[in-house]
Amino acid sequence: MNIIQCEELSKSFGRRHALQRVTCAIDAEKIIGIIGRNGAGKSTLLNIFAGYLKPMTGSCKVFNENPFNNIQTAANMIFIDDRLSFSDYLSLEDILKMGADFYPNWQNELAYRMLDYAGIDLTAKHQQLSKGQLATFNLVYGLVSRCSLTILDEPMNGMDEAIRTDFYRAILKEYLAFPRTFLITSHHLQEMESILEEILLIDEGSVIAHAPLDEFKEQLISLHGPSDELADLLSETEVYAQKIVAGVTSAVVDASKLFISEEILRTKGIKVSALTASEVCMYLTNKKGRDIDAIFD
Amino acid sequence: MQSLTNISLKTIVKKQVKWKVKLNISALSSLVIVQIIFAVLTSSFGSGSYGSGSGNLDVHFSIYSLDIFLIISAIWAFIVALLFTAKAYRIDDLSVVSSRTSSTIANILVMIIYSFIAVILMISTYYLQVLGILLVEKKSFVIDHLFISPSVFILCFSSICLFGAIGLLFGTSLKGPVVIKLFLSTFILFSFIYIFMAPNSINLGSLIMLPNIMISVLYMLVATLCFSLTIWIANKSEVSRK
Repeated sequence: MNIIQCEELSKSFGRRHALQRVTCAIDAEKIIGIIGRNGAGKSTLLNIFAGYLKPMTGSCKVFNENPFNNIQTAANMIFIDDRLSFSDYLSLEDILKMGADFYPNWQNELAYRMLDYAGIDLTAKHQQLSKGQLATFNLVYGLVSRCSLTILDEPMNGMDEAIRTDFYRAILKEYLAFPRTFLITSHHLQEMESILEEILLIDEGSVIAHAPLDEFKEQLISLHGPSDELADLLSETEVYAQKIVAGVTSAVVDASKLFISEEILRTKGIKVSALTASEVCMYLTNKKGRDIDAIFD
Repeated sequence: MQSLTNISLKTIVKKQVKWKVKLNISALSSLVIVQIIFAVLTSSFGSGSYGSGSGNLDVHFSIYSLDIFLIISAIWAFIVALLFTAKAYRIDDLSVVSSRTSSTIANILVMIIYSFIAVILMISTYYLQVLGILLVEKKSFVIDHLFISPSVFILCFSSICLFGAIGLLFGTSLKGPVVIKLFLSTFILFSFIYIFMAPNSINLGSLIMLPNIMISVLYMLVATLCFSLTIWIANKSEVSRK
């Protein structure tokens, strides 16, 4: 069952097109990674899902209702990002009490245990926390609220690697204990690959891929072999990246457009290797002809 | 699938009001401090004074009334209402279950509750001022009304509410859609031009002559209109978190 359904969604800020005719459907009870480069339109899309922004054209339904300024969407959704803020007069303990008052599925005991594990003092104020602690507290706040739609926009920003690893596990454990839909954006795709079920890739305001993780990773493959053997092959398929060193070519190509078996490739001395989801994202969103080395030449 | 939570707007507004009243209590303490300062500053001459003398006789009258406290409370209500619509407050609202509608209704209700408390505070400060003068300066008093009449109480309440409502409307309009911002700027510009071009055309004399209860009703109607417009604009507003 879809909990989010978008049709031809567009949003502009002045002359800048943040989203262009986005159509997508998000299933219930899945952990989905919303991936894209900086300024790709991820946060705009999440803000529309949360009911904070109104699309200019197209439609967006969350829980079968228009989310914009909708109290039912708000009651079943939590949006966690680094801009989450609370009154200066509240200690973290008070914030947890307030959360318990507003969210019916709130898990106060779990919040206490997680914050104790992270070494966060509950008498502190939200504004007094370090960047990493702030991110940890915000993530805990989002997890223990147990909302049907939990949106985490760069939730691990500022956390050290150890705590990031722990909290990826925490997200997974919470998901297993209380299945709901998680939408997570992160620049650490490699780290969170293990918990994702689907990836929705956005580039320049458009959805360019939305597939289960394994399917997504299989979109592109890496070929490595003699340049003369690969030349013909590369001319017939879409090449995302190519490097030639001493007569040996390494290329990343679209797997669906490569009509040749792995056996034949091997006989030609061409090695085929899979890419990680992070690499696939990078190649799919790479601008053609863009090369950092060219700037310094 | 996990069942969805069904919460009514009324329930959310109630919770928001409860937390907002608690969290913004410092606004009331600031009002108390400002009123005490003004009570001390105006203790020697009140809200107006005049005197006359003939031969050895020198008579000096000072009028002690609620006027000065009402003006302070009205300005305070306008500023507090503006603060309620400030970005920091609006972003705080997003951390709990809320919509623009629920937050705006909660702000309006908090403003009404605070206006009521502000009237009680201003009357208390007024009595304290009079008592202080009676005990310290030992002046002779000609008491017009010992107790504040309900009609004066309602008039004070409606006046403070009106300024709060204008503050909320002004603050919400500034953060609202571009069309509303343009309309507000044009309205303010033309109002200033009108006031400067024809200052005599605005005659408040007839309004002041009306009975207290009539003025109160008029103020409440305008405040209700401002509150309604505030909710309408908030419903149309997007959330800017940048």
